[in-house]
Amino acid sequence: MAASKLPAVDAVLLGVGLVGTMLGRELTKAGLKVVGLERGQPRSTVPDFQGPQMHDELRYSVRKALVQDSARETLTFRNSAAETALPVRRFEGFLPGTGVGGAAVHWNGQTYRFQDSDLRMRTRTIERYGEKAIPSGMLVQDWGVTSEELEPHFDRFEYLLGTSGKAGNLKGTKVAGGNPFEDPRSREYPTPPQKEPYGSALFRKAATGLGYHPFTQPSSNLSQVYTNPEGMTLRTCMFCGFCERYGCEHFAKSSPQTTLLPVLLADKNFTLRTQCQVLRINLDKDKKRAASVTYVDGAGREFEQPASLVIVGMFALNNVRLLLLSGIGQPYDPATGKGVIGRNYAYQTTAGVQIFFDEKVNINPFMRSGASGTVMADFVSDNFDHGPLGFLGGAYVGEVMSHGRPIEFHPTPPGTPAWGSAWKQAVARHYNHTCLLNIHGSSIATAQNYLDLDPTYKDAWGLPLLRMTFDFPENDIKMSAYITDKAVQIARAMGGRQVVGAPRKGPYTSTQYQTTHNTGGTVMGNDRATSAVNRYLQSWDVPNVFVIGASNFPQNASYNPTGTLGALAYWSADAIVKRYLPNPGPLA
Amino acid sequence: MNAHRLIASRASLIALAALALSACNRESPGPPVSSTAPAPSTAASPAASSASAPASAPAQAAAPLVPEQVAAVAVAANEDVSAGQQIATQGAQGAAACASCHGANGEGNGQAGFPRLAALGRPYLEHQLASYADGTRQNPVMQPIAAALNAQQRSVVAAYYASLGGSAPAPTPTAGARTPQPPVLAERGDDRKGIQGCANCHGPQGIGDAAANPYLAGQHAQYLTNALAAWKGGTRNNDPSGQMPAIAKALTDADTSALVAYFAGLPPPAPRNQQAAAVAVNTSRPAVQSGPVAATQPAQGIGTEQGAPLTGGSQGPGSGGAGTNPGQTPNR
Repeated sequence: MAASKLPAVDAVLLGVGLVGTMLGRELTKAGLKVVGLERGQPRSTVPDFQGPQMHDELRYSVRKALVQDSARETLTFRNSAAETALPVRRFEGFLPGTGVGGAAVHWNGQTYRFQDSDLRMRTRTIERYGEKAIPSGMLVQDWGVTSEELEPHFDRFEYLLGTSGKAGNLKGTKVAGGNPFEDPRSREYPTPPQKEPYGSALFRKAATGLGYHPFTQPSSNLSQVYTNPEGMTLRTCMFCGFCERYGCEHFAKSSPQTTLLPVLLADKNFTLRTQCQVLRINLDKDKKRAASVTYVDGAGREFEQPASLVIVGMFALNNVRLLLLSGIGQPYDPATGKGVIGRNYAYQTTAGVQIFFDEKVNINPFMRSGASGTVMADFVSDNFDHGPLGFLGGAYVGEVMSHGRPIEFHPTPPGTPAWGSAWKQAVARHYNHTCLLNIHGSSIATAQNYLDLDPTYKDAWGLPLLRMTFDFPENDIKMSAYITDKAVQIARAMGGRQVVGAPRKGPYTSTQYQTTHNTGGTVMGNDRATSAVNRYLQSWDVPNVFVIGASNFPQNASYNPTGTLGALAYWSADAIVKRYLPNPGPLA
Repeated sequence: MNAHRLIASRASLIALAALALSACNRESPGPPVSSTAPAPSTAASPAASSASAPASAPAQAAAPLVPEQVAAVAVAANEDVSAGQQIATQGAQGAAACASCHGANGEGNGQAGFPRLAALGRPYLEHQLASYADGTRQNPVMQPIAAALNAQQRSVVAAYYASLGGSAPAPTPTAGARTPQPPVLAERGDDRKGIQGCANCHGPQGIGDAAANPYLAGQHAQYLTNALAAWKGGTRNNDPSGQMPAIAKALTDADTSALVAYFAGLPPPAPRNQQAAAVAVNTSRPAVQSGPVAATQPAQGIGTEQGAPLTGGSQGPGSGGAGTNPGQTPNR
């Protein structure tokens, strides 16, 4: 069936989530006519996120109503190239969002800045430890951008979101109460830190007692009413306990809906088209320029949308897949090490510690917000000496329990039967008296972990699924063991009667939720042999295509990715508007 | 931290209310938690069991981190409320009897705009009295009364009114009459105005909760009108979240009238202790004991819902550790 060809526009956004909304705003402001294509449904705070319906744990947490529909589009997974990958029939290990606002609707709001030692990891590792610190097979790379260059964009993004936090380093001056390891920031957070739950207070006291430097986790579910520079007013988080996997009924979580989308939708230069599944980007004959994109609408009709500029701003995994489906860039081949699309896939190396308290200690786990909590960065990135340790990377440790929801939260000590009355008694005994520490660790890219197109399985439109080949590298297993041990020591100092902790071990399983922080596959850099896009997130091969998302991360750092992703989006938008539009062509 | 308000927004966790109520002991009326915990003398103590200790290991005496605090959020079913009743009916030094305006059974006075107090949450009532006393809620009648009561007196009088309920002849709908249709704002909100539905905090059909979110159902129309005007005008400024002033400012007069008419026309809720007791009954353990009560080699506490672990910590920021990963043994 021939696609209906639509009138050309200046720019087309593939995905209208966080990146799509931000780029849509920047490009329409610059005078461009922009069309946004979103595969999912339109939705807004009212009526879609309102309680009590929104607090349907079965629908949203278990059945994952806000997550990509795996019956139509999923990926296949295997631990190593020696195995045959099978389709993920139900998203469990990670939760790609779908619908207007994307995953920034159901995120938790944990908002960090990656450090310069993350962004220039290769250079700084060699400077401090020598060439030998990076074994062959570990694809440690610089991003091509420094924290100083990104600072104005971090700042702008945090002020868009209204992030609640406390600076630890204002223009080079250390400030008490914040993260002492952060790189200099130009000004305070837009809103003060979130309230501290009781378990977090216990963590703070114990960590401080052991000589660490705890601080309140920066939160984009807000501590107070805030009006951002776009004129959008966000409200105060009510600690409802239904944050990640849910939309916010109170206008309190920073999502496109609460921070920017209404402004964009009011712009006459912008057109939103929902339920539009993009199949591919169409290139000119010489494959040097994108001419249009082809998509299928909700009624199954195929359209071709010509555009001068294409912004690929989907979930990280889908960014990679679309480039592979469109023939943009050379696919990565693990046998030769050549090719860039699908290279440097990384994840997040998480572990947990449970602290079972006496019944006198009431933790109130239900009284949480997505990002409230206290963390420490003493073992993040290169904030500690890796010299004798034999691994790179790190993790933050913190008490950042996000909820105590009745279906999902049933902490019981080892030895408890898995069902029956003894299990029920244990749940009742421990529900209100258990704390969890999170060890949220970095993920190194390796030659063996990568993404490509599956040779067998196809989606509802007949296109090959993405295939993920991933297992935890030895480096990250070592990292997790070292830092989880530190977390267990802190947990013991918190005064519980029993502490249970285990570091992350392989093999990676896609059926257990760990984190949605899938990164890499279209990484940024200054060398086109090892990166898919340049430092401005522009495709090396097709300069009118910009690919923006966590797929740009050459390796994943210790902190949650969204703050850095948002800063990169503004960094790229700035380059597009100031440099690319006046003179379209390669920026680097 | 305003624990009351935080606790209160749990409308959909009613099933956990019994846990929640017991959990609140620590919170009220103590100072912020982050400053209440005494130094953990356990920082270097061996009190905490080793990571490999089985669950059945005898608890070693960890020093309590939290001072025992007595005040409960909810009024216990058997709590003696006579001290509060005495203040309510006879007044205290410098404070007129509450009943003289709010009625013998806390039913309020619709014409005068004096609110119904029966069955309001104890933390809510305590917070209002404190706010009158410190001026964050301005009212020339209530201010001197609240200021004349000390914290203990406010607490007991709040407990008394929280224990009352069902006293007033609610505008009972005639047999067969339908529940009035709620205005869209009550249940859904308005995206353009930036208003969430009232039900998110005040509960379905305005039933409120036992803590910081007052019921709206059956509250007197004049009082509700006055309260929204006070939020809007700034004479009431005692919502630490700032939600209510923002919402009230976004409401038009027509919105206010429709909401007030709807909520005032609903029957007021039963007293909280009766509700809590009902929940406790419903969640008590079944008479029939099921499962491996004394299994010799119990399985790990791992359950799954179609692959998703249910043992806690599996979700959110990715705490995937102990006991949540079928592929790994804890305690290594």
